[in-house]
Amino acid sequence: MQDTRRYEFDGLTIDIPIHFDERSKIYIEDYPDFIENPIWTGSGYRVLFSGCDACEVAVDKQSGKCLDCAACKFFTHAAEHTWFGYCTNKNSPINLNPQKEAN
Amino acid sequence: MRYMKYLTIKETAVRWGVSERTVNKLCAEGRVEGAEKFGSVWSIPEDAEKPIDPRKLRKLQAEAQTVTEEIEPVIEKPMHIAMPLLNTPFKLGEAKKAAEAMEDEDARNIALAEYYYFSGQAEKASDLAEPYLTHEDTALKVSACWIFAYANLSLDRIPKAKQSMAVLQELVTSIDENTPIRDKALITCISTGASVLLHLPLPKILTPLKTYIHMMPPGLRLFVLYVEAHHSYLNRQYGVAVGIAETALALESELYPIPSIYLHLVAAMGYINMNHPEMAKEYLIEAWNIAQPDDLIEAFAEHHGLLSGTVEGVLKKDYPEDFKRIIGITYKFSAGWRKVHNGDTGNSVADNLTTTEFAASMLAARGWTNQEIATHMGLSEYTVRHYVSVAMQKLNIKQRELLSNYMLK
Repeated sequence: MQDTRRYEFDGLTIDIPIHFDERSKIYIEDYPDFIENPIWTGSGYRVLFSGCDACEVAVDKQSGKCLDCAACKFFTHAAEHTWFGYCTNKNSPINLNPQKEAN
Repeated sequence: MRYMKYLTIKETAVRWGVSERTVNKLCAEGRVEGAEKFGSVWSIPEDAEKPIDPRKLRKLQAEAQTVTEEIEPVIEKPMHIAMPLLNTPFKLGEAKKAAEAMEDEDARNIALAEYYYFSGQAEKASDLAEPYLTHEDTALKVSACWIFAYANLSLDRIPKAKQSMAVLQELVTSIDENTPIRDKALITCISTGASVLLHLPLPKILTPLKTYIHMMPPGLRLFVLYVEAHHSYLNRQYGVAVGIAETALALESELYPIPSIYLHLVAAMGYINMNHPEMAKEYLIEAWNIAQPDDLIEAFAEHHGLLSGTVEGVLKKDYPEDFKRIIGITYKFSAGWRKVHNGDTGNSVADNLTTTEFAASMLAARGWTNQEIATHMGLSEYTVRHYVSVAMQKLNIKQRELLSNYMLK
């Protein structure tokens, strides 16, 4: 059975698979495809890898050009030492969820 | 019909280590085989040998008469050309044959060392080059230093690589007003190349490369232009880099495969950074077409990181076995390269990423989106996100733009 790390944030509990990388001698988190298989937090925010391309309504934390979700002020990391989190911008196209609205 | 290359008086003077006046005189006296006068200008065949000085021969013969032991007359050794295989317009598929066909034993050994190096056989290259690190002939010595240094990067013999670089450095510092201009030109060109390709600062005392470009024999001239283009690339003058490469290739009167491969690759590097991936791919394909008949794959490994996924996009699917071998060499070469580069500059080019993670990160650091990287490297967007996420975790950085701190320029 694969090792995982459990994260609990904004009403969501999620297990992220990890593997040991021989080259770096550290455990690496293997994020699922959050785009193809959306996951939502309890508040209805979309879970994303922090290095995803910034969307058109992203706002850089430092007023520069926003390249990825991690640089955006609307992105919240799931935990301090991880590379995924959720987008709190209700105007972001990534937070549209026809299925959720139907629910 | 064999195409005959002719040199000018100036070029011949550099090659023979004599003055232009001497060359002119030798031609006028009919002592240079094949020399022809076009108008008022002498043209000398590229393969013409320097005539033996008759005064030296007479003197030695006179000395021999007074000696009881029989001695052989002193025969002047031919002046060698640096990197003889790189300087040969060999037919594609006949690189090794061209090296083996060189009459002079030393030239043959260096040419074979070059062949082994450029075809990714570092151990053989190192073994053949090593005896020439202390040779009295500058051309052989600098050639050996170059091959030995770079071969030993791939073999993770960093002290040996540095030892060879130190020999080059000594040659640079030993240049003075008495150094023949030919030697100055060779030392400058090879030392500059070695520094540029390791992304190290140039020694301050080096004369700019452009002073000597016109003195170089044709193949080495093309390679020096590649070094100039690479230097421009490192200064983020990507258009200049591409311009130098394309002009050099356009002016090539015949194909010198080894420098031509390098010129195509530096053009590809420039185009990637100017966001023209399709042009980059065209140049890489052309480089591959030249390299493949002789298996000259080393250059692709050397430039893998700087080509930012272009090698994956072009070769991985259609040449999977060759691609695997290139990646195998890439790991070894880049590990050695980083040990020297990072050590000397204090930079932190990442050494714990896979080649694909590195390639994807190079592009991500330059602001390419995951979709653009995916298209360029022939991957899915999810796969790219995975590589970038792994790279960020390994480097412990939270934002893509910070990748640039760990990437090549």
